Amino acid sequence: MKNIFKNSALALIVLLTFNSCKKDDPINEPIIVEDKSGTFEIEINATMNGEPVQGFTPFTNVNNHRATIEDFKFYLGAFKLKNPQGVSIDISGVAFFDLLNNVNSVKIKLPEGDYADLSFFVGVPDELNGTSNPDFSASIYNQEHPLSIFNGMYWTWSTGYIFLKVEGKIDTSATQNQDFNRSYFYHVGLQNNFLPKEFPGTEIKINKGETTKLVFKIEYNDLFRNPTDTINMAINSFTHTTDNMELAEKVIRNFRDALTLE
Amino acid sequence: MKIKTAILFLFFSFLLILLSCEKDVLVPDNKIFNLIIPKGFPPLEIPSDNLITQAKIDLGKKLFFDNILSADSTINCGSCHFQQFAFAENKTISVGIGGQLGFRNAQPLFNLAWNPHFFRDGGVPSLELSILNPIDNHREMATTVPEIVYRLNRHAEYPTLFRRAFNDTATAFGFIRALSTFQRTLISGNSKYDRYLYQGAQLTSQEKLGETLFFSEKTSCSSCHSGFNFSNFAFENNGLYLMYADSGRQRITTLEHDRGKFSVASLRNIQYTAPYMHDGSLESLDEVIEHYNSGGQAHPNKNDLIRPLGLSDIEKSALKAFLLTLSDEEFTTNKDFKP
Repeated sequence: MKNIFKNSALALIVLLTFNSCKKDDPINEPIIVEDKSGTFEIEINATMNGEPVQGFTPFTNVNNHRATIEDFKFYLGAFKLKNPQGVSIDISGVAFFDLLNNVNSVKIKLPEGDYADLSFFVGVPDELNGTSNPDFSASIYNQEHPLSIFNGMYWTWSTGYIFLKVEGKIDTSATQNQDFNRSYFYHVGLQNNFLPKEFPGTEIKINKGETTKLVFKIEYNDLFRNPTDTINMAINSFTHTTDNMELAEKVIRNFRDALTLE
Repeated sequence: MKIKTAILFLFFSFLLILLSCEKDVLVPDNKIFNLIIPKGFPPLEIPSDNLITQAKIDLGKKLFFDNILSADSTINCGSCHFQQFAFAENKTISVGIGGQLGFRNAQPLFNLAWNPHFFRDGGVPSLELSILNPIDNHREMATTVPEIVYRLNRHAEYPTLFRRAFNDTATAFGFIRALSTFQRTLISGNSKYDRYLYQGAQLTSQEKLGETLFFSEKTSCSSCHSGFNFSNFAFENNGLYLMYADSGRQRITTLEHDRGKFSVASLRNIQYTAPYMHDGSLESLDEVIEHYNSGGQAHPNKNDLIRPLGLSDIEKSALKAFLLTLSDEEFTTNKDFKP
């Protein structure tokens, strides 16, 4: 009886030791198939008055005020390309860009071949935005997911995602001695601001195992001006979209129009 | 003797295991914590990805009262949600970091587990997501979840608490779920009126008159303040203003017929939650009753039930006496909810 107890105790210790210090189980080796795909990369670079944009660095805005930029984030989604057979293909998902923190590209895997006529939308497609799905919860996504709340793009007072988030500070004083006394922010969302952007005539050759990159540029100040209008950031200094829809629409349209191929 | 030796051997072996791989043997607490649901309350639906455990409650409570949540480490959730005020605040508008005034009157926090939506405009659909707003609101804590997670993982105690609750380091996933779990446990259902309904407590004649008025067509109070929580969770314009500085539900839906509409507030613990209304503009319960007795302002979106009531002073006092029976003093002193 005593031996049984002793043996059982030893067995228990061994079991606990294995369980408590267990390493990850080995996984099966992946099955290798012939991969004829390549990578299509979209890169976006922002400038401020022609120079690479830098967070928290003072710049002169379209109304000659001194200002800083502290956030420049956005989503692009619903990518489309014409495949080598001339058929338009949908690329599902959404890409997150945080241009002040070097999150400025997205890579898409495609079968090798010649593609053309890139298009996408600025914003998050309705089916991913959650506004029309009562069971949607943005907290399900892990930190690496483009739609993770970690990215600070989910409205915290409403449902759905901010499509374009721009924030900073501005000096509204007469002396312009860089007393950044006022915050500005433009948080644009809602499906009516999900805007198409097309690049007809773009040609993208995808070679097996290689990356083909298209580089886009955007001038930050162009978010606040267009051929007919400028936004005075000292006066129209913020929108959460619903509280100033007109301003929100203007900013995201300017953003869409300012996004060009390098 | 051999048994003693075996016991000693066992003890030292366990000690060795604990010392050799401390992180791995910290056993996560997955045991489901059963909340006690007051009589008369509907069944509780807990999100399947956030079942309640004691470890999550403990972690969530610590977070709730920790200044680590705010950008300058000066305020926490409890800075604007005081237990003695049913987790509301006795200020018109709460003050965030740097002395900044918030947007609306701080709402009380109780029975949130049953809320179909959160905030006075109902813009947020879940308790888990509701905790994000005060965190990233520039006028409140003005920080971000990534920043908080960064701080938590460098804290002396939180990594262990997260491992116990989630078997993981501090993550956004765990942070949100722990903080919301603590708030889900803030259940209030032990008022004098609850005890009158279910435990044989007696109401005074004045309180009974107030009860009759409350549930009568004369006042129609219970048309909106109905159900176990004395709220139908609808959005209504109660004629507080002709012109609303805060557009309320319209801010969410952009629909003009939602302008000036706010979520119908629970009347439980109303004694503790002054000042009242979305902007804290009415200081006392007497002012609130007088507002409804007057019929309010003629806003086009005003609910038709808000009309002059013609209540006598005796009836107004009785109505107030009834509303005070909805106070749950035990909730405001419960040690489980203290830091």
